[in-house]
Amino acid sequence: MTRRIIAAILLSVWTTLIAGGVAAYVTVRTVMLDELDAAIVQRAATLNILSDAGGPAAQRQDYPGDRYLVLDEHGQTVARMSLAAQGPPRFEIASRTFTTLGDGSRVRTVTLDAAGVPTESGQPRRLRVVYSGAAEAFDRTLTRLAWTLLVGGAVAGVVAALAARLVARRALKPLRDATQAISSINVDTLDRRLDAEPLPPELRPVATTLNDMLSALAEAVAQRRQFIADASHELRTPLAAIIMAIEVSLSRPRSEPDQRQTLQRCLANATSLRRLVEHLLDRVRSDHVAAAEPATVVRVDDLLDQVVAQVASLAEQRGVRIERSCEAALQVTTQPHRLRSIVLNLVSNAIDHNLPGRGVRVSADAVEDDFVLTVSDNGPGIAAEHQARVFEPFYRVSPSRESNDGHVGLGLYLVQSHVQALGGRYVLESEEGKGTVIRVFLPGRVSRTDVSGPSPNSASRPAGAMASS
Amino acid sequence: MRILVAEDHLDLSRSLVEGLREEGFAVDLSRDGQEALHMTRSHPYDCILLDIMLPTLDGLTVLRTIRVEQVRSPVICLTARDTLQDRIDGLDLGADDYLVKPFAWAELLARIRAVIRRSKDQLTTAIRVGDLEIDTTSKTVRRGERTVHLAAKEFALLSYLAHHVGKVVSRSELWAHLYDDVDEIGSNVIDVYIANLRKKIDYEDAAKLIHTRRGLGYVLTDKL
Repeated sequence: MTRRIIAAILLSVWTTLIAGGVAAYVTVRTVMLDELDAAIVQRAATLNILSDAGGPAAQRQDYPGDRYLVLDEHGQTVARMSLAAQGPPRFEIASRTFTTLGDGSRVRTVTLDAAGVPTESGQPRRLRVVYSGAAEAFDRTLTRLAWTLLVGGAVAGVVAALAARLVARRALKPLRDATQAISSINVDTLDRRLDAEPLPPELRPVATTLNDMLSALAEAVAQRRQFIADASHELRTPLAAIIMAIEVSLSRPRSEPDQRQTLQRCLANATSLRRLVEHLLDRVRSDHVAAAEPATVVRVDDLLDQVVAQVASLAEQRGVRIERSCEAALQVTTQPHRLRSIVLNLVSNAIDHNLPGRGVRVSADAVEDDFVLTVSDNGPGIAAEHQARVFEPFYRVSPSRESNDGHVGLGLYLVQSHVQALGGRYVLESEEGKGTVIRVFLPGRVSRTDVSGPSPNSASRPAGAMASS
Repeated sequence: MRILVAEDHLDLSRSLVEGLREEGFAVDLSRDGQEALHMTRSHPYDCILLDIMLPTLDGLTVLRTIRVEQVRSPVICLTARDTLQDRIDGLDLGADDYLVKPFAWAELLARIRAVIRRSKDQLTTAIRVGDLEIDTTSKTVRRGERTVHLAAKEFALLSYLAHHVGKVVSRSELWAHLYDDVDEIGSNVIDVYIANLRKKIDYEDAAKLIHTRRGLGYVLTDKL
């Protein structure tokens, strides 16, 4: 960049200098030459043609240093003429050249012709005057001019080069400073920002954009760190419970019922650890695998079948009935892993928070081209102050980890990250004592199979296990 | 010695309480911060095991509050938060030690013994009174050449007296430090244990070490 700017400046300055010098030299030379020639012509033209009878002596002595010849067409000296009566002949320039004489001196030679010069015999004649004027002064002046232009131009050129370097460095200094500032920013110093103030106006938008990017990055990194800190906390606590139970149990002889109790305690915590690890892995997959997964056409009916089968034992355990409704031909074009995770986590969450013996309802619809998934439970509902936060990682409505229900607080967070990755949105409606409804909207992805399925309207059927409570 | 366990994880807290009781400690359990704070005000605990993430009031706030209120019980923070800043915050707020989950049972016990020792101005795990030697780590007691076998509560009682050697310890103080809220005990149980201890330690013609200060309590000393 610096070199380019210097080169650009030098190219323009040097071109100007050279062109200016040449133009000045040529102009001055032409003007001087014209003046020289004009002076020569002037002198030649004011000559009186010499006659034997003699013109006025004073006229002949006007230009004692000049040399002139008056020739006829044969090169013979012209006969005597009476100029006083007829006036000077009208000369016109025939040619002008520089000539080097035998003694080495350079002269300017102007050849002048005059036609119809009256003579004494009365017969008009053609005359030629060849006049050589001294060219030394002219040559000296021009040589000096050329040297002046060359030296001056060279000095100006060098000065221009230095100036160009300085200007370029000055102009690029803010950029260099900014580069240094940027290179000092790493993952640990994401709170640093570029100062746009000293930058030239053209570069300020770059700084602003970079700062915005840094802010977004810093926030993402902070979220990641918080997530990792929270995750390690969540992993350590059940681990501590397992280790403590085993160590205390081993510290002295135990009866079989005591040992059973210890094992059950360990199992409960190992189970919640397993669930946590599964969710964490799902989160990692969401970042890496699912992100690269191509969108394919998913038959929603089949997907719901699979999910309901997957949660059947959990539902049975909790005494929860699952109702599902979905148009058989409904298809959605999406990343299958993400959609599956959304449905699975919403349904599992609804089962976890449902009251025993009541139903959880899953339905998939198409509203125009949008895909809408609705999962509603008959649970205790979520208080208003918790509603906005239940999608945060590891957030639990109950602040205590006292209940070992294996609930890890990542399900809805996963739903949120998948929905956002798919460009959709979600809505949570909940009323304490009535239950919670979560709707997920995925825009413009719905199609239908050609298979002539059953009635296009909802094929509602209960699935999962009926509670016997 | 009486310990408060403030930990909200159900299984972890159960294991801690059971294990510590078996080690001869009197143990109270609280699963939320407000309750834990209240309990530190009503009992002079010899050690508090404090989880940082507690419902209703977080552990660091509990810690700050009890230190402001001049509660001197040693506090060991038990937490899954392991960053340097977390540890610094905990110690600066007045924790005596900081243990990151998951921890080893033996280490927890050693740290409990260590903070109790420091709070009672003891330098070593073994306490000597005359020819009586009490090892708080191995829980063994020797009088001269003889090994003395004590029940858990007897050892706890002797250990408490030994930690306060030369000082008169009242019956109610012994009560407060040796029994937790779930122990069901009769009013004269301290006297019974003292009598048992005397039989085992101040036997036959050995110099008497456990002395009764009528109306005040008991003192363990070889200097009279």
